[in-house]
Amino acid sequence: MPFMKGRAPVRYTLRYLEQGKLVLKDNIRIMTVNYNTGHKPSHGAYDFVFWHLPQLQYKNPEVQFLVFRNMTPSPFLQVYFGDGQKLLSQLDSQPKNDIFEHVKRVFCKSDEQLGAETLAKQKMANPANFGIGCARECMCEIPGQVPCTCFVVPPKELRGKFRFMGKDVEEDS
Amino acid sequence: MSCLRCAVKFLTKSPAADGIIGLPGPLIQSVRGIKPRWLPKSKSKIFYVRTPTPIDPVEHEQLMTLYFHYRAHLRSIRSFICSQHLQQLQAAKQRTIEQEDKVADFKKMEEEISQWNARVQVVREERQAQEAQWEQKRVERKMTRVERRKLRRLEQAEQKLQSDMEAAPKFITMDNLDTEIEKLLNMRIDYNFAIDKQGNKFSADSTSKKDDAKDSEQKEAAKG
Repeated sequence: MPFMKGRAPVRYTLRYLEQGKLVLKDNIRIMTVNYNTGHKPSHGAYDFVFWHLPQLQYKNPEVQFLVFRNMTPSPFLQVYFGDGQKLLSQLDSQPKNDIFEHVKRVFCKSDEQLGAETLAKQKMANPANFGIGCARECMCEIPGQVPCTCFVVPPKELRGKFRFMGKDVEEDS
Repeated sequence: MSCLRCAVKFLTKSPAADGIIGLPGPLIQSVRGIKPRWLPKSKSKIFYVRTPTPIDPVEHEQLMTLYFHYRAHLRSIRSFICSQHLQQLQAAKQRTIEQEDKVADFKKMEEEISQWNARVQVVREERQAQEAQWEQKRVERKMTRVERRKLRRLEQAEQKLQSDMEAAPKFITMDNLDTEIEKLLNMRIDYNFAIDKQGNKFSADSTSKKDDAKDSEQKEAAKG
């Protein structure tokens, strides 16, 4: 589809897609939505698909999304999990925002979880970080940096024993 | 002289059995060729000092180096195995926790969805009941309309039948066929007439009569 053509082309902008708040849980594999066209109780489901399906697909590239039209007496949403289990939500006569909140509360990761994951990703991704869980545990692993004192005794000029306690290097030797 | 060495051996638990198999008791064993503890050092060995084993310093240094290297290797392997084992334990623990979390999470989702579905079900049933009511009314209206139409058609048919029955005596049958043909043959129709926008016919006779009437009226008016 050409850019900025069709109904509500804002749906296809990168900014809109990135603003999606629905990040599904890890064990969800397939999500299907059934609704009828021209059916008043299906309006909410239709609007949800119209506005949020692009964002969902953008945020969850590993999940398969399917939409079935005119195959059901009342609209519903079904989610299939990796271990073969599935859950079904009725969407009859529910407005779009209620469906959005319901999906976010039940099937999506919480804001705290998302924040923690983002932080962990940033921590792991940033090569400047060091410590447990990073690419290197200690700064001394990088060539050219001062090695840890558990491996190498530092020169006497850097040791307080000689600098502050007045023990001369020559005297000691 | 023989000596008795006592030892208490605790029988270990069998992995299969829960209780202790036998009671702990002294195991007495006679040991020969050893002096008893209360006998002093023998006279011939009272001032005996053992000459230390001669040590070659170069060899000693080499041996110590090898020994330290060996210990370092052993330590590193041990710490590596320990860390691996710890990691495995940690991973297993993490997996268990994740599995438990997953089960708990799924249960929570199920509960939330059952609540949501119960709420939506009420709405849906109301809607379906309303729609069923509307449908029933529509069907009733349609049935009434159909009944009415049937009745009207019946009435029309009856009317037609009545009119036909009234017209039946005028029907042409084989008996009066010749008479009717004769009648038609004798019938003269004048098609020489005009027609206006309202559909009135003006035959040539009527117009000439009208013209004659007008002329006579004009003449009478002139005389008067």
